[in-house]
Amino acid sequence: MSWLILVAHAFNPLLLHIGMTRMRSRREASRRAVVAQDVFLTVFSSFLVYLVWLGVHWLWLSMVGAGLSFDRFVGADRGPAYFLPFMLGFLMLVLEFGVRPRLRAEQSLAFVGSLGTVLLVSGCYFMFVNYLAWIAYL
Amino acid sequence: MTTEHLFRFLIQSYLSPVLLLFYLFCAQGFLAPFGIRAFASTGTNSERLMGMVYLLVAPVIGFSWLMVSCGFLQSFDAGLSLPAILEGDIHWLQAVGFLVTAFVLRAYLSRNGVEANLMGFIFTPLLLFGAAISASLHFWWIWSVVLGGDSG
Repeated sequence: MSWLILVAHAFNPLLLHIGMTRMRSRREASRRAVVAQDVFLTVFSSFLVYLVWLGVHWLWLSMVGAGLSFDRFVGADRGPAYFLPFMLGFLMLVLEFGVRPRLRAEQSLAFVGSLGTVLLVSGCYFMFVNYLAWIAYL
Repeated sequence: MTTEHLFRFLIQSYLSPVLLLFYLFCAQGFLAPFGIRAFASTGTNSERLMGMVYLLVAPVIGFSWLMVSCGFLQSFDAGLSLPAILEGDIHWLQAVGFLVTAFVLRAYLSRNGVEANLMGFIFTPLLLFGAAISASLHFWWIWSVVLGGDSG
């Protein structure tokens, strides 16, 4: 379970949004369309940022003397609701790389844009509540 | 659900700065495919909020948000219910957020609407300020009531 939680954090909605925005501007600048590579870079960079974030917390907690096992630190037992923001992050990826490039009509693009904003805002909200719960649990 | 619950729900739907910001940024995208316009142009660079559309859509957004938030927070075993959430005390800082939203809405619903620069440099920062207050209070409530963070 801990490993699943660790990997799921690669789909953090906020980090994915930042990555996708960077990829979109890069794609528009170079006019190329290697979708698989862009998806991989977005998810992988999000995962790396999460590892740094986790490392900083680990360091901080080590300095205050809390002895934490890997399972306790990452979180061994989580309900399905915990993974909701990551599912939203995955949906954001599908919208950005799967749906958006196929749309031409302005209305459809605006609809997808609004849907993406809803996913991002609710994903960030869920992530932050999960973070507060994690801090309270540690 | 009593009349008081309904009243509190409507106040929070219409006057929440977070929901108004959400409406300003996202409503057009969702309503346009149905042929509904959330804004009307009143000049070269100004627009006005369509009052009737806001009146109908804001409670829908408010209720959706309440359901999503309450549904997600159920996973923390705090025994939350919709009436209990609506019965919560309104902090005076939250009332400031409501006043800010009312002030912005008054300008946005007026006959001449709001000029884009005025909206961007005055009203949106005001709304962001109100939204920051509301969000801080909401997360504080989650920390202390839902997660029991203040009881140790």
